[in-house]
Order: sequence, then C-alpha cells, then structure tokens
Amino acid sequence: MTPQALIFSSLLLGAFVLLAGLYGLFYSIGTLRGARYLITAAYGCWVLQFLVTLSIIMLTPLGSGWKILIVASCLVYLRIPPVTWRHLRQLHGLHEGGRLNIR
Amino acid sequence: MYRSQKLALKYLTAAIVLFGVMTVAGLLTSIYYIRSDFLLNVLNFNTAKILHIDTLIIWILMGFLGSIYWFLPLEMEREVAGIGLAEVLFWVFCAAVTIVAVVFIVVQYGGGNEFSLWFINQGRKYVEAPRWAAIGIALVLAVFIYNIIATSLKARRVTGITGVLIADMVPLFVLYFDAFAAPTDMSIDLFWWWWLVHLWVEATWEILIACIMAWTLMHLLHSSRRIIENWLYVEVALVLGTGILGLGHHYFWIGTPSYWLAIGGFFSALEPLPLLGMVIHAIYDAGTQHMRVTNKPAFYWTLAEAFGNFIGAGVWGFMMTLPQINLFSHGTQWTVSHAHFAFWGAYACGVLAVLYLVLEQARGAEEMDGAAWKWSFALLNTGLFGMVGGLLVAGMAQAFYGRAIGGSTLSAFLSLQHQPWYTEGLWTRMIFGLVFAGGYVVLIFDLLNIGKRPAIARERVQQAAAS
Repeated sequence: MTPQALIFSSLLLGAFVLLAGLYGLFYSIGTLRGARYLITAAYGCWVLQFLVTLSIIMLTPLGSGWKILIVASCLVYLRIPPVTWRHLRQLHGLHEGGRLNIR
Repeated sequence: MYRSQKLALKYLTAAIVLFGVMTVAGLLTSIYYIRSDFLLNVLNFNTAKILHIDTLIIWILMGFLGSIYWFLPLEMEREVAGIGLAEVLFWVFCAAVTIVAVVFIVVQYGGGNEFSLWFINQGRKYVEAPRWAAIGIALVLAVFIYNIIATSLKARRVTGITGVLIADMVPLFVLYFDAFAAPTDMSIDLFWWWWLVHLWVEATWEILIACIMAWTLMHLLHSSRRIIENWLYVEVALVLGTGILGLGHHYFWIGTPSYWLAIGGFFSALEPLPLLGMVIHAIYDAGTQHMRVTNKPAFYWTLAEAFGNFIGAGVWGFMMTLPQINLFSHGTQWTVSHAHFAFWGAYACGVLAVLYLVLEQARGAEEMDGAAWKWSFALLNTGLFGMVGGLLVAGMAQAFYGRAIGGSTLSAFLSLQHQPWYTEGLWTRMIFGLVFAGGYVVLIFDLLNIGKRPAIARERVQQAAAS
C-alpha cells in the first residue's frame, strides 16, 4: 500500500461508517417526526455510503476479502435502522399497550 | 438514603477528583510532545503518562462502582449485603491510589527486580500499579462482587440487569489476575496483557456500562424494565459477539500468529453495527420523551454517550482497524485519537450522566438545569473533539511520513518531529486540552451547586409550614 493509498483508504472507511451513522440519525428523527424530507435525506446518506463502498472497491488496494465484507456491511447497514425501529416499536407496543404516539 | 448510596456518593466524588488528576496529567503529557525538555530531571514523561492513563482507568472504575452501589439497593429494595466491609475498602482503595501516585511521582522507577514489581511499578501499561496495590484492587473487586451476589441472594431476587451484572463479574475479576504476571518473553507477555486490557475495555466494561445505562434510562426516562432488559440482552449479545475476537486488532508487531490479524479485522469491522443500533435506540427514547425531562444534564450526557461511542469507537475505529491500515497506524497518535474518543463516548459520558442523576436524587431536586452544565457540556465535548482531531492529524502524519514513507526508522522518527502536520496536530491537541480542562472546572462548579436551590426552598417551606 502506498502512503497516499493508506490515508485515502482510511478516510473512505471513516466516511463509510459516518454515513451509516447519518443514515440512522436522519432515518430515526425523520420517522419520529413523520418528516419525509429527513427520511429522503437518510436514504441519500445511504446512497452516498454505497458510492463510498464502490470507491473502496475500485480505488483502494484493500484485499478482496475485506472488500466483500464492506459490501456486505453496506447492505446490512441499510436494514439496521428500519429493523431496529420496528423492534423498538414492537417492544414498546407489547409492553406499554401501544400507547406511544410516534410514527 | 441507604448506606450503600452514601458509599456511592463517596466513590463518585473520588472518581471526579481523579478525573481532574487525569486531565492535569494529560495536559502535562501533551506539553512534553511539544517541548521535549519540559520538566527535565523533575518529572519524566513516562510518569506523567502513567498518571494520565492509570487515573483514567481508576476514575472510570470508581464511577462504575459508585453507580452500582447507588442503583443496587434500589433494584433489590434492601441494603447492600456486606456494606460495612465495602465502606472500609473504599478508604483502602483511596489510600492505595494516593500512595501509588506519590511513589510514581517521587520514586518514579526502580531496578529490574522483585522489589520494584512489588513496591514501585509493575511496568506494564495501564496496570503499572505495584503488586501490593494490585492485590488491594483485586480485594476491592472481590468484595464488590460479594456485595452484588449476596444482596441478590438475601433479597431472593435476580432481575435481568443484576443477572447480566453478576455474570459479568466473573470475567471482570478473573481477567484482572493477568495484572500480576511477569513473563520474560515479551510476545507472551503482550499476548496475555491484551486479554486484560482489551477484554476489560471492549467486553466486560461494555457490559458494566450497559447495565448502568439500563438503570439510568429506567430512572431518567421511566422506561419499562422489560423493554430495557430485552434491549440489554440484544446489545450485550452483539457487543460480546463482535468485541471478544476483535482482540486480534491489537496483535500487531508483537510476534503473534498472522491469522489473528484477519480475525481481529473481521470482528472489529462488525463492531460499529451494534453501536448504530444504540444510536437509534437513544433517538427513540429521546423522541418518546419529546426531549422534555427533569434532569437535562443527565439526559444530554446519555445522548452524548450513544453518539460519542458510535463516532469514537465506530467511525474512528473503522478508519484504522483493517490489517492493511492497522499495520501502519498501530501505536501512533492515530490510535491515541481513537482511544480518547472511544473512552470518552463509551464510558466517561455515561458516568457523568449517572453523576447528575445521582445528584438529583440525593439532593431531592425538582429540576436539574441551569447555564453551568451547558457550558461544561459544550467545553468538555468541544475540547475532546478538538483533541482527537489534532491527534488524528498528527497520527495520520506519523503513519504517512514516519511509517509508510520512512519505514519506521529512527531517522524517519526524528525527521517527523519537524513535520508541520505532526507538530501542528500536537499543538492543536494541547490547546483543546486547555479547553477541556476549562470544561472540567465548570463541571466541578456545576456539580457542587446544581439542584440545591429547589431543595433549600422546599426545606424552608416545610419549616415554615411546621412552625
């Protein structure tokens, strides 16, 4: 790995997780408030994360095994916010009689 | 108030004092990097660094003990069993920490013999405390475990949270015995030493803070126990599933088999996944409360815990955890940046949240709010973010110039000391360290005053009504 590739790859990897966090953040707040624009922004972040994933695959010298892991992670990240949110709603609905008035 | 809760207040007070010592020692350490002759022949760099990292461990640990001694009697609805012994050991713990700190500062180092191991310094990072003090810490932990188990048995009650806590006590205690080993083979030594350091920080402590935050959410947001316990099980499973074998991401340059690099890289690449779940949970809980709570500082520090953990451990960790990058970044200021951020997010913010919650309950405050906590929150977090930013830049420069270009040679190391990206990163760290220290001062002011006025007013009303 060249010195330039070292820094470039690590910045892409940091952006990869940061965008996953932003996707989760916007998705949660958007769902909480029922704000469609925030949910759109959330999916926008995931699309950016996907583009970062493509950049990692094409532009970095990481091993192919790691690249496969990153692609798989990118797909898993897509499902985490909706699945977690559904799980939380289900838990609250089960244990609090569905009293929560949030979307 | 239970005796256990009075003991909790002592532990939390000691924790916050050590937080201050850690901050001062950290500031000193940051100056050595800029002026290598700083305090020459007075206090060497190693001693300042030992004080910084050891007080970090001890203040967080004391914060955990204080938090659990506060919540446990409420959970079990009875006094903690063996509380008298725990009270005695608190003072033993404080005396041991003080003596060890004085020996570190005054004696600093000794010869390579048994005497040094027993009375001066064991010489292994994070567990430098001499053996007599390490035995004392083990004793404190043993009594702490007895307190939890015996209280649960006497109350004839094991809740989901206490069950997880009791299970966690076994590895927490057993792993600490690794602090006593002194193998002469450095590879073997470091191999097992990481078991203690990594598995405390990324496994057993994660469970401890998860249990403490579970109680915090129940008291702060009045969340349902069953919801909290269900989520606790999921989080503990995910954190342990990814964290334990993430151990391998430390096994660089110490002679361990190379398969550890792949194992460590794989599992630590999965570590951000549960952290994202925690962020979503925090937002969900905040949403259910519509951001309206009686204890705003505790609430905001709880949110900071979730976000700080994700960014510090998740984003910063993932930047450097894959083996091809870790080979170069390992042991640079880059790692230091990640460690600062992750410790702050995962543990320090959690302990501060509990501290505010405990003060609310101890002072009978009707509302915990004001300007001071906002200032301390802003200064501490800005200071921390600036420090980790500076360290990240310095660390990347170190990996780029010193490792990838220079090949880790002495000449590369020496030329790095004049590299602007590196030096400016270290200056940035020191300046934001001062901001952080300012935040600590405001924090102390706030902790001494917050929540007192309503209680005083209520007491006066009650006295007037009685007379």
